[in-house]
Amino acid sequence: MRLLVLEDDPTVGPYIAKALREAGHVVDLFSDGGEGQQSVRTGSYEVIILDRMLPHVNGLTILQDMRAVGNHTPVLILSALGEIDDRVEGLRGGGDDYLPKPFSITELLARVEALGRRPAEMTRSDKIVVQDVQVDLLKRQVQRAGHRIELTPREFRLLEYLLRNAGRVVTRSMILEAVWDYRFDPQTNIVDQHVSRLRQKLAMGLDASIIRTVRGVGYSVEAPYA
Amino acid sequence: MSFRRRVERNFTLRVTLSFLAAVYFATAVLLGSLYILAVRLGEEAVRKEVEAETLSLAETYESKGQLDAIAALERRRNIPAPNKAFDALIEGTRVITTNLPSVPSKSARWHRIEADLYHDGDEYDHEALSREVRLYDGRRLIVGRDIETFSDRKEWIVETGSWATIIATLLGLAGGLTLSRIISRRLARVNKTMKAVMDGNLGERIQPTGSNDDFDQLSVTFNSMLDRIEMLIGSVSRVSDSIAHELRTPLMRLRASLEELSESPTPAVKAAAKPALEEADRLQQTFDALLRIARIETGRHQLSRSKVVLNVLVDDAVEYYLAEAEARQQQITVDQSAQQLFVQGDRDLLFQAVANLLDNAVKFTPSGGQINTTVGLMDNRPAIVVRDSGPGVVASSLPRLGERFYRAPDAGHIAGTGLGLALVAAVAHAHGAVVEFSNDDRGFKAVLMFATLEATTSQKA
Repeated sequence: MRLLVLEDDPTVGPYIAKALREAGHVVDLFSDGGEGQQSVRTGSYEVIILDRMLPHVNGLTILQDMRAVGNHTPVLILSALGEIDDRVEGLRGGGDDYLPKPFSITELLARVEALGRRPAEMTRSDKIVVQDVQVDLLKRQVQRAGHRIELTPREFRLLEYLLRNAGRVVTRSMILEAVWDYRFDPQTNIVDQHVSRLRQKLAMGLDASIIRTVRGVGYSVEAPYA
Repeated sequence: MSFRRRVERNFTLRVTLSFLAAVYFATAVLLGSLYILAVRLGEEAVRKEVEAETLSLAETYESKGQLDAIAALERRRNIPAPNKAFDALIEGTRVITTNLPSVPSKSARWHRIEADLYHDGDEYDHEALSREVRLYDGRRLIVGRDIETFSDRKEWIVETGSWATIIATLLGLAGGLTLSRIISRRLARVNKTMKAVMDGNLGERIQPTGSNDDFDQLSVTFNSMLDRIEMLIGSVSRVSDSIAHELRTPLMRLRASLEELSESPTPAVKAAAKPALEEADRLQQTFDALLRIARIETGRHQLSRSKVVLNVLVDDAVEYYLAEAEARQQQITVDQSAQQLFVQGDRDLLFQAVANLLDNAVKFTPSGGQINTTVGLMDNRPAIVVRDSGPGVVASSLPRLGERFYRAPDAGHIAGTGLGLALVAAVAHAHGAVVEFSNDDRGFKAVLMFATLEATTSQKA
């Protein structure tokens, strides 16, 4: 993907750019708000990673300006303020996702991937089949090898989220944000327990699991057959 | 509430009653003085005169005989005087001479005799203050003078006094109530502003009335105090926003460098980077929690208040912890009240608070233990109770659990920032709720109790 990173910190900016490049993306990095605004206007990017506080032109201003002229490129906001209100402010200002500093680079990569492919969301269909697991999104039913699996509504939402993001990695905090309706700071990361329960239910005594653990990052489900 | 306590509590009532008491006292002093001057002193003078006359007439009788004495009595009757003269000379039941309409049958040293006389069909009220002496031959001589003037005055004073009391009561009540109304209305303005400020509207000020009186001066003092508070909180906000920014940025750099190291091809470097990263995460967690508490406590976190159904909130929170509890072989149960309980509040913060209580319960309950959550009314207040079958907390530590960084002495082996319950306390406070920690017979118990009952009418489906 072609990515634009607007980050003024001399350590963090290059570090993000390097990691994104290593993940196979093409990255433009600017540390000045003015330059950033210019590149947003002229360049063509799939995802923009935008620090909230930039010298000369504020990150939120850049965001509002681009939205005002109808530029809908997905924007991931980075912020060193990191409070709930700042998050709300950023998302209301037109941001698509928000990541408070400090964050881990894997978290950033996963979120950028998710944002970049967002418009091309492939799971518009009502039924998803992964290996021998069949999920009916309308009837909210799951079958494996012809047997019905009972899931709680939350477990179903979790599975649905994983499936909608099939083929890419989702982090624990992405799952938490998407599957639970509350913005809160889990003291203990319990998402793992929920995934493991879901996995057990789906396994039905079989070894093969469709949910793969990506060590130190999160989970992923392999892309379904058509 | 007893009357006495009401009087002590209610300033306006106290002012009114004091006002009334002062008016009564003044009226009583005035009428009392009037009574002494106009009645008692006058009667005293008459009494002395009558005494002297009686002795002199008795002497006339005893030295000069009955005829001279009767002549003297008649002469006395006809001398015009402001206080008409009365007398009677009595032997046994026979009245020898008198100008009284009736004579007292019983002897006494002093009499007050009704002596109403009729002239040309008109009645003239008289009251004779009379002295009686027993003469040497056993006859009774009664000599008196009219004191009707004083009786009239006495009546007048009593009547005036009654009216004065009624008027004084009305004036006192009206004055007291008006005064206290004025005072309490102006106090209410101060109160209203203070409440608004406490609710987080730091910009509120008391409008002076412009009269520059004591109350206006009080308002001015209050306002400058509020200016100062606003300034201090403002600077705290700026400081903690800068702390946030100034600490997050280097933490980010630290994290970036450590992550790079953790990808190092040298195994020793890679091994060292991992615990360092974990430490950085812990640092960040502590510091996030601390800032969040500070934001809530200083009212800078704008609560997005909405109607929150506690039953649903608790169900969701328990569901979130269910998987973890089962992994630890603990049982979590929820007892819901039959009716839905609502509070006005910030659902994310309330969820966070309940989650922290459950997190605590899950962490401290041994494997195989029980965690029980209750949503219901306590003293008609919506309450959430989280109980666990863990070891509980040393009684002396209970009051300190809501403090930042306080960890009970026996909690050392369980990972935690020491901020979880402090956050619960801050969220509770921001919602006008209280959180109480205690040990019950089974283990530890946390109660989150809200102040008001918003609506509890709808039955749970």
